[in-house]
Amino acid sequence: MAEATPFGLTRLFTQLIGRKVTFTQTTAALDTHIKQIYGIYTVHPHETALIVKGDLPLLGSFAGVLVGLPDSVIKQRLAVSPIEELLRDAMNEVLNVASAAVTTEGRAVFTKMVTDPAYIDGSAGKVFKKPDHRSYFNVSVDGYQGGKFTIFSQFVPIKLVTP
Amino acid sequence: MDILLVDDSRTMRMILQRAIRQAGFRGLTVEEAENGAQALEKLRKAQPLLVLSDWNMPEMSGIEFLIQVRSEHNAVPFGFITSEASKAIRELAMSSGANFLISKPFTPEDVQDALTPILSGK
Repeated sequence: MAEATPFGLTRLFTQLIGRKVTFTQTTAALDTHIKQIYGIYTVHPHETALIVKGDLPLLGSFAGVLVGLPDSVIKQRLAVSPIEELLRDAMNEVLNVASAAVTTEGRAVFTKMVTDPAYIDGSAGKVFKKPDHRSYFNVSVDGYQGGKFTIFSQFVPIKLVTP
Repeated sequence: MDILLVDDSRTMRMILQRAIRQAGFRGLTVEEAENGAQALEKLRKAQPLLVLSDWNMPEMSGIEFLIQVRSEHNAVPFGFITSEASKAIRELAMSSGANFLISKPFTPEDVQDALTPILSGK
């Protein structure tokens, strides 16, 4: 699995929301109590699974900017559970568009967004529990709440061909 | 109806409406559909100047929608706006009768460049 690059992610998200976004790669991050949002992808042509985990405030910032909400309003709306439809739909779209940058190998197709890791099932569930690779990023968003963003992926299976 | 916007994401339809205005196309009537099947129904009732469609949608995908439109001998200009932007997808879109494909994320300039040849003077 070719790793997503901070440069590629920075460029994509900056273009998507029209504000300066900066992804900085870090070493393993400690789990926090911040609520998380998960995006599940299938990477073609090898049909491998890839999962993105992002802090809710971060995904909320991306989504809120897309639909024209200020930071303070986003924070108020994210405090309400369940997440309102407008922000939820926008977060879904953010994760969909992110498919262009979450891997540099193959073609990632966004499958679904979940708010509870218990719903990461099938091969994605296996990869999430025991990934071959994790990429950690700290993300800042100009004028908005930033957060952490992690990509869980698996190596491309190698087929041995015998003569 | 001047433009038919087809996308299952309400957010993306909202962003596209904004991008069309930012690209300088104001005063156009834009109708929306959530998937290819719904869009096909609208197309059978009225002919827009342009169809802008997502690729991945429930019920009927963008490419299935385009193939159906062309099979009904409808030559309406048709553009995809999608996160699916690989060479193979682009080639499939064009060989099926699409006029252009804009990959997400896009800028108002991308929208302007794609729409101007079709909508200029309208």
